[in-house]
Amino acid sequence: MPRLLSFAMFFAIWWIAALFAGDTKLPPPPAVLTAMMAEARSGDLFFHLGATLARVTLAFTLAMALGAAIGYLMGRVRLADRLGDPWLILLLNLPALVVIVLAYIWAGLTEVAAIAAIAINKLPTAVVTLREGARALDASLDEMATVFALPRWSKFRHVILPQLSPYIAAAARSGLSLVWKIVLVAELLGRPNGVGFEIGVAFQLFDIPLLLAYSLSFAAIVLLIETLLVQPFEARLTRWRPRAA
Amino acid sequence: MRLEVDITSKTFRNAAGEQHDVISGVAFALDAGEVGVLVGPSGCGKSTMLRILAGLDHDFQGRISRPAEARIGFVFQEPRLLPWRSVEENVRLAAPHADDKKLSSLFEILELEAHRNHFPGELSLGLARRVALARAFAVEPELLILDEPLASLDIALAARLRDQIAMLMDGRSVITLLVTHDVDDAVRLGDRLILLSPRPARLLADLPIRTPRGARGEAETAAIKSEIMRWINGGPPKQSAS
Repeated sequence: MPRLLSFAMFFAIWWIAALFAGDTKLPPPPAVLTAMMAEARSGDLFFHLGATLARVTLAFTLAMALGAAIGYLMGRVRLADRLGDPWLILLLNLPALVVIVLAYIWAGLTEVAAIAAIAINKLPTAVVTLREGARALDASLDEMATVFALPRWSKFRHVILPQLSPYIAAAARSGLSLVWKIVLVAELLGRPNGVGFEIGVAFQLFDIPLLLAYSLSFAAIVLLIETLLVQPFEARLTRWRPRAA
Repeated sequence: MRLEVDITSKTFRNAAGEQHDVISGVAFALDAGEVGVLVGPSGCGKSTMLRILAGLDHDFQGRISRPAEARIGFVFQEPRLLPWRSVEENVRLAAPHADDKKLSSLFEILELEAHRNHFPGELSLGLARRVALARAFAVEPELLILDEPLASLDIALAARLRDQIAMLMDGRSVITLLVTHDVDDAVRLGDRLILLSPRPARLLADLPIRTPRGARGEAETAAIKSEIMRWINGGPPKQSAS
């Protein structure tokens, strides 16, 4: 219920603001809805959303898998931490735009370049979070697993992974929002499709309803994934914690 | 199978770089079926010794001889259960080959039947200890190590758990090593008392108790207790300077 109220308020504020700003600057919700319906009917909306979503999925998976492995290693092995740390600081502070432009220059205006650039932008935050998680692993449980001679896989699955899962969830959540932001820039700069590309077109034509139609559809998808995938996943991971009264 | 322990020295360096002696000479041996009890003041290095015996700490001078692949059951001072796994899963993960019948009888003796599906966070300390005990016995250990399994429980609960441990130890030919600073528990559960000095730990005395656990009368228990007290209160030939 509070969620619905929150949505209603958003649309109300938008509508009122549209009355003051005028149609050319901020079209009211029905105008945007019309643009959205037109794009949906032609199929363009789904095509571009699909392209963006595919890039997000690939880049996110790549960055999470690689980031988790590197972060775990750096958290557990001192030498790896020492060697990797300068690289990590460099990557963390490198502007996304630099990575994207360089990727397009070096690898051409290709799909591989786009996905790699997005993944590289997300990678360091995943590494940092997982490194923290690996450092916080409970040594006493480690000893327990050693004494009882738990097989390697069993130890990983039942002792290590549950301790890392809050860190993985945190990395996934912050990483996902980062990927959503960067993917559009990568598309704008060097891809012939996707939400970012369409927004670029709308910007050049100054077609504000179209721009908002794509932005809002995109936001709706993000919200949907957050409520249907990320939040239930987090709830499942923490079901063993005694509930706060 | 036999456990032979001969630790000549164990030192430990603290964060400030200062070196501390923890163990300065402890040697004893235990045969299968024998329950050795390490008795000594708090902080004398008993837990350190257990970690060495369990193969968790290799940084010491001396020699431990036991079959390298011996199955170990360890009841740590804190229960060390996996909070994200149920009671039953905690036991089964350590003992994947234990059959249902054996687990049921273990859970029954330790009064855990009703808690199989609870998570450790929902248990009291006494119950969590029992789960740790169930886990240690479920692996059918050849070497069983109990680190103060009765500490910080109220007297009635400690007595009940002590009886349950005695019941589980009977009829198993395990080498058992129990750490306690409670003389009473030591006499009731042990077959051999290994008395240790304050830190750095040194062997004060190695006292075997000939009468089997079940057959010890009040008089005998009292006699053993007073002998322990004699040793602890300056029985050894070398008096401390303080």
